[in-house]
This record gives sequence, C-alpha cells and structure tokens, in this order.
Amino acid sequence: MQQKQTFSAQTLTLSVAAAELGRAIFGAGQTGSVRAVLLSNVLAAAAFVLLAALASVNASRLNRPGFAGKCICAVFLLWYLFELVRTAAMLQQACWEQFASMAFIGLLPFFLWAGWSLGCELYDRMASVLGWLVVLGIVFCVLGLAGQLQWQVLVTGETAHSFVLPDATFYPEYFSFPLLCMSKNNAKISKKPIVWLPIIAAVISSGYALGLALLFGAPQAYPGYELLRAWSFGGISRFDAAFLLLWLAAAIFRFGFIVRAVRLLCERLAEGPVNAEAAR
Amino acid sequence: MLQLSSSLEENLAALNARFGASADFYAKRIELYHCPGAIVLFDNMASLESLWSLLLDAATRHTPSLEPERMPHTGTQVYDLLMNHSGLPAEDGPVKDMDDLIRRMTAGMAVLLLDGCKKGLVFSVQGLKSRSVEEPSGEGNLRGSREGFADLLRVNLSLLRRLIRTDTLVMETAQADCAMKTEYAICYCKDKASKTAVARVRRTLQEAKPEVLLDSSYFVPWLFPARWRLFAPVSYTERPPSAAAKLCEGKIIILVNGSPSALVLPSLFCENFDCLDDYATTAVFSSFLRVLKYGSFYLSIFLPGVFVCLAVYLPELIPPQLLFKIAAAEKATPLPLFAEMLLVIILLEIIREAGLRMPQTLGHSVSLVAALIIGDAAIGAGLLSTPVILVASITAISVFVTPSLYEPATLLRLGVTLAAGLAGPVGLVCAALGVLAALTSISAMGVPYLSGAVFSGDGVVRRNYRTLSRRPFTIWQRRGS
Repeated sequence: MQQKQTFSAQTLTLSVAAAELGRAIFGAGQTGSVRAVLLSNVLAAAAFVLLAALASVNASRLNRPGFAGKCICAVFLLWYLFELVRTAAMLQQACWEQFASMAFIGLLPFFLWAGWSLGCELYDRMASVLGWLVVLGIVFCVLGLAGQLQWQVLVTGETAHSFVLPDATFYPEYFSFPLLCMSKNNAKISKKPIVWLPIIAAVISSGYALGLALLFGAPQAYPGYELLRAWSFGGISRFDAAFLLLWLAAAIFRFGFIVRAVRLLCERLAEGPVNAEAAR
Repeated sequence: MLQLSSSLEENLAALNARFGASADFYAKRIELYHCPGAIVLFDNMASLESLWSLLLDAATRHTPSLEPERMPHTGTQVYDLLMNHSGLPAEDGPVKDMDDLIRRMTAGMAVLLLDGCKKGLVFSVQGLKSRSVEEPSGEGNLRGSREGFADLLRVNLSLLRRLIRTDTLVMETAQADCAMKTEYAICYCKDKASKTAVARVRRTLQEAKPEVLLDSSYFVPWLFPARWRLFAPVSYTERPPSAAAKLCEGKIIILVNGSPSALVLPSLFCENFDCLDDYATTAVFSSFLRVLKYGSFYLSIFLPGVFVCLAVYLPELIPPQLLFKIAAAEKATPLPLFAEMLLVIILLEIIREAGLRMPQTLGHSVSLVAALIIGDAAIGAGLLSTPVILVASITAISVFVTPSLYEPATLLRLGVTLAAGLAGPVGLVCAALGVLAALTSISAMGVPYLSGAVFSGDGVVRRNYRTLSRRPFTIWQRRGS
C-alpha cells in the first residue's frame, strides 16, 4: 500500500503550537505594555489569516508543476531548513539551560534519521495524542497559576508608549497547505483548520504575555520560563520541569516534522518533467 | 494426489508402507457379502467399541435379503448397498484419494475399504483422549462463565456455536501447509465482519507455510509482516464468551487444533484494559478499574526510568525528605543507581521466568530463596538499596494488571530506563516519543491500533451498558479513524 504523502491539520497545528510556546518560554521578557502586545498579536494574526487564506484558496496555482511551482517549492524548502536550524537551536538551548544536558546534540543524528524515515500518517497519529497532552499540560499550568494572578493589572493605567511593530513570528506552516496537505486525490480537503493556525499562535503568545503581566506586572524583564517556575499546587511546586519535558516532546516532534517536510519538498523538486506532464 | 486403487491389497500395501511401523495403526480384514474388505483406523483415536456397536446396530436393524440373485458380489455393488440402501451412518463424502484417507484417519475416523471399489466409506467414531473443558489459568474473572477453550478444534467450535445460536456465525476449517498438516478454523459473523478482511485472512493463511503450527500466534508474522514489532494488533483469549463477544463486534477469530488460545483480529490497544467483568459490574467501578489499569501500565513502563532520571539528573525536583533517604541509601551501595536499577529489573525477570518454567513442586522453594536473596540478603549486605528494590517491585506487580501487554511492557521498561539513565531528561522524552510512535505506527486491515476508541463510550471510561447497547460497536467503524 502506498504511503500517505501529506500531513493533516493536526500535525501543522502542533508544530506551530510547539514553536510559539518555545518562543514564549525562552523569550527575553516583556518591555512593552500588555495591551500593546495583545493588540499587535491580534493585528498580526489577522494579517496572517488573510495571507494563509489567500494561499489556501490559490492552492492549485501554487501547487502547479513547472518552473513557478519549483521556485515556490525551493523557497519553502529554504524556509523550512531555516526553521529546522532555529528549532534545533531552541532545543539545545532548553536542554543546556534547563537540564544541563548536551544529549540533544548527541542524539541529533538519530532525530534526523527518525524524522526522515517516519511516514506522514505516523506524524498525524502522534500529533493527535501529543496535542491533547500539550492542551492538558496548559490547563494544568493555568490551574496552578490561577491563584497568583493579579487581575488589577488589567485595569491599571499605563504610561504612553510609542508605536512598536508587532513582534510576531510567522511560520511556514501557515502557507504550507498546498505543498504539504494537498495531494492529487484529496483536493477537497477542508482548508479551515489551516487558516486557524495564525490564531492559535496568537492565542498562545497573548496568553503567555498576559500571564506574565498578571503575575509579575507589566512591564517586566523576567524571562518567559519564570511563569512556569511560579506554578504551585498545594505542596507541589516544581511543575515547570514536567511542562518543559512536555514542551521538549512537542519540539522534538516539530523537529521531526520539519525534517519530513524537507524530504517531501526535496522529492517534489526532484520530480522530473514526465511526472509534471502526468500531473497535468 | 494418489487416488485409491480398486484393489484392496494395493491400498493396504500403500497404508502399510506408510504406517506399518506405527503401533497405533489398525487394519482389520473383514468380508461383507463375500466381498473382501478392511477397516482401517488409528487405535485410541477411533473408538473400536463405538465402531462395532454402530455396525452391529445397523446390521440388525436393516439386513438386506440373502437371495442369491440379489446378493451383490463386487466391491462397487457392496459400496452402493452400504452407502445408499442400508442404515449404516456413514459420512456423506466418501474417501477417494490417499491424502484424504490419511486426513480422515488422523482425525479419528474409521474407513472401510472394499476390494473392487475405488472409494472408501467413512465412519465418525472418534474416541480421542483430550483435556476437558476447564477454566483457563489466565483471564481470571469474578462473574460469568468458567469455561475455557480445550485443545481440540472441534470442541472449541462447538463451544462457540453454543453461544452464537444464529445462522450468521461461519466457521471455515482448513489444513495448514505445514509438516504436521494441523487443522485450523477461521470464525466470523458474516453480517458484521468485513468481507475483504475475511478474504484477506483466508488467503494469507492458505499461503502461509509455517514449519509447524502449534498455536494460533504462529500465523501472526504472515498476517502482519514486520521486521520488528513491540505491539501486535491482535489479542488472544481462552474464554469462549470473550471470543463470542469479539465475533459480535465483527472481528475474526482463528483457532488452531491442539491449542486453546484463540487469536482475535483486528484488536485495539484499549482492549487490553477491559475484560468480561467490566460489563458485569457498574459503569463507575469498571471505569475506575480501567483508569487504574492504564495508570498501572504506564507506571510499569516509566516509573524506573523517571526514578533514575530524577535521582541522577534532577534531584532538585524530589521533595527534600525523600531525597535525603534516597541519597543515604545510595551512599551505602557500591553500584550507581542506574546500574542498580537495571540489575534489579533483570533479576526480577529471571525470577519470574524461573517461576514460570520450573516444576510446581520446586516453586515454593525457589520463591522463598529469591525473596530472601533479593529482599533481605542483598539489602543487608549493602549490594542493593531499598528504594530501588521498592520501585522495581512496584513496576513488576503493576505489569500483571494487564498481562496481555507483559511482553512489550518489559522491553519498554528496559528501554526507558536505559534512555533515562544514559541521556537524562532528553532520553526520557525520546523514550516516551518512541513508545508513542510504536503505538501509533500499528494498524491492522485499516484499523489503527491506537484508535480514538479510548474516548468513546467504551474506552477509558465506560458508559452504562444499556446506553452502549443502543449503538452496537463494530470494529470496522474505526477503520481509517
């Protein structure tokens, strides 16, 4: 039986969530006001949703064989390679700073081999389980922080700040629907989950910024992982390590997904003109 | 295929050449209506008493006339008289070739060969000595049937037929292409099982060439070929009610002659955590037990690895009082904690395997020695520490809550401990991802092993049985989910 060569929306969602969580946890701190951060996230998300929707609607044009299609494929290949390096750097930073471990470097060849070898369907199935675990972890985090949040920060006046461009990162997954989720046989796959990706990233980023502000006030220069360290539930107070391990699992999953996506894009680029004619 | 000869002497010579040296081969020459014949059977497989009482009864009730002009002479005429015009309860299908003759004789039937006839009459006079229907040693339950499958295939088929009393149950038998020509059966409900899946199973088993076939599990490498595998999308049961329930879910069951273990396919991961008792108790209690079983399974896999990871790499996460006790215990032992944990896990496996294989008369002695050596002497001598033994013992007991997952759990436990001990938290996370990948990579006939059935009304938490009965579950609903 031919292996499935496309990913589902769940895989892309988990990948984006892992990336955005990593950016929030290992971020340098929040110097602007909370309202500015939230507003900029909303604006950025709206813009990305529009762009993602455009990309999904024009999927067939972006996905066509020929020189234009190969150029688009090459651009996404480079973008994913950049994300691969960035994710690896984030993983190594987490392992070294939080766990004093160089094991990620040592296991890097294994991760590359596993990411290259595992099928798309396996990623989809793993994403449905791992995604739920991440959601549960977030809920658990919120429960442990709920009693410490200072809600009056939301209504406290803030000093005026000059306009700052939104500090939002956009990921190649937003626009990858035509390349990674569509094949010749399932052109009618729903595009809605892909369009929601920027909103999920915005929710994670905004929620984390809001949590930091409600806990420590705004502006503050605490790094993002201080929010996890503030977690406490009765006598247990070190859930940050458990959540970091959960994030580590999601980030390694993203690493593997990107490697697989790179493989898919390389195979597409390597497809000859005969296949392109057959596709038409 | 060697056809039977019309000459009785040739047929007997062929049988003597094959089985003459065997002490249980029985051939009795007789004469019927002045026609030479012979009864052939295997002693202690066919019952001679049943045979003679059957023949005498039929002969006294329906004896043809002895008029000279109507007295048959040739073997064919005698065969026709006995088969079609007498009260002999012979089988419908006669024997025509040597292979079929051997197959019937090894099934415990007696065959009547006649001189001048190329066909043989078959009588079902089996008197096989076999283990009776008893309660199986595994799969314990508090309520429900105590019957278990026996070793004979025909007995097992009758146990299923007794439970599913509809015309939808189909039980196809065939002989495996192996040295022992073992008989097997494929059972399914034709209104629930997928026709393509049944056809695929039938074809696969026909083409399978095991060297010997002693159990239904021997078919798994042909049904689901893989270079390596931790979990198999099949389950086994020795209880007819469990097998009948699986058949009503549209699953396919394979039974092999000589083994009481029925192979059920396709199977879901969540089915390892339920049992017959689940539906005999309240939904709340059975849900509690299932949650306990899930927790025990994951505890048995991850507890040693998490313990090693925390104690060696992340001691700041352990509460101080517990940390002091662990540190004090480890200070007194010569081996590092990681090596200790591996050693204890392997020792417990050795003890378990020894307990399983040894004669029962020695069982108590060995258990006592093992408990003393590990539980007392090793700790007293300072070779092993109490926390490590405690953790290993908890995992060893936890795994028996789900005995069907014992094999993968044992290997995974070792793998997780190795990964956590060598690579710390990163290794632990990789091992967890590896377990997830191992579970999600399996599917059988389009049904994923880790199906979303976990969150259905009969997954981790079970709904009231009346609610479940409103929407009967069929395994093929999970196909592609």
